[in-house]
Amino acid sequence: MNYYVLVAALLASSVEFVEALTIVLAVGTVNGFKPALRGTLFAVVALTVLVLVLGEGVLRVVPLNALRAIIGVLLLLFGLKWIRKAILRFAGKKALHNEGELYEKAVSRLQTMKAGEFEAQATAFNGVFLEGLEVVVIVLTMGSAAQAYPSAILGSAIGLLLVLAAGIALRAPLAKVPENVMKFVVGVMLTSFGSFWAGEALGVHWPLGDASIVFLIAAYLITSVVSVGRLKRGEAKREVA
Amino acid sequence: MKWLKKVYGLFVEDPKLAVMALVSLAVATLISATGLHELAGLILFVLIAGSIVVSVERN
Repeated sequence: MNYYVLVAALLASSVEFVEALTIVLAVGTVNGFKPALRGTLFAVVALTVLVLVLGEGVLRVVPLNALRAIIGVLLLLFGLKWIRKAILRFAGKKALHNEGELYEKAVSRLQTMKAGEFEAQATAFNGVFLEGLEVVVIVLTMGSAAQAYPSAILGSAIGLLLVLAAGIALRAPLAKVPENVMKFVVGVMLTSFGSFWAGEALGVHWPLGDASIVFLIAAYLITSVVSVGRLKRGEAKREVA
Repeated sequence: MKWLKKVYGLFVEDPKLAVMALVSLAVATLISATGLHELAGLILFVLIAGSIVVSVERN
């Protein structure tokens, strides 16, 4: 079991599942839970097929070192996108993600649309498919680069079960989940994994082998926290001036 | 083409940051090719971390 991959997949997937749950709940509240759950089921089936086809196909066709380079680069770009957003959010340059607010917006949009059963189903499908696509990227990239598909799938499955259980118990968007902090941590972890695997595939020797990932995580975390501090200080100086 | 845009958007939010990351990888590869494999790792981290700082400060 690769615990780095498991934890990163669990955190990243949970964040995406929470966002998908918000859309499904909004559709369920406005149009009833039948079309919402049907759309969700279709999206889950489509995503499962995508993982099986891409995962199997890619592993069989592409040589491992080339795969690690491609996947490492993709993971690095994916992680950088998350880390950048998280820094800007914590520095106050971008609005914090608020699940309650997003739920209200989705509900009012669906109410003004006066959507029928098919449109409601399509909305749930789109929401779950698009959020799930990010989970697919995480599972495929980390699973194949670290050759740890079981850990990546298990991490995502635990995330799904936790979010589902919380969603069924609360029947409300999970606004109290510390999504912004989770996104920050995931951004740091994905950037570290991406640097490690892309670098390794391109000829870099990491001094401590796999343990270097821990140092990369710490170093990127420090860089991000320092960046947040610098941006906040810059903003405060501008306000004073 | 719409799906291509979606896939692009999945990985890239700030194109300049993406380019800086790719350049960092290229530089690390070149350094590694000269035989300095461990230094290449350090340079890769420094360049990527620098790219993050530049990207958020430029925002």
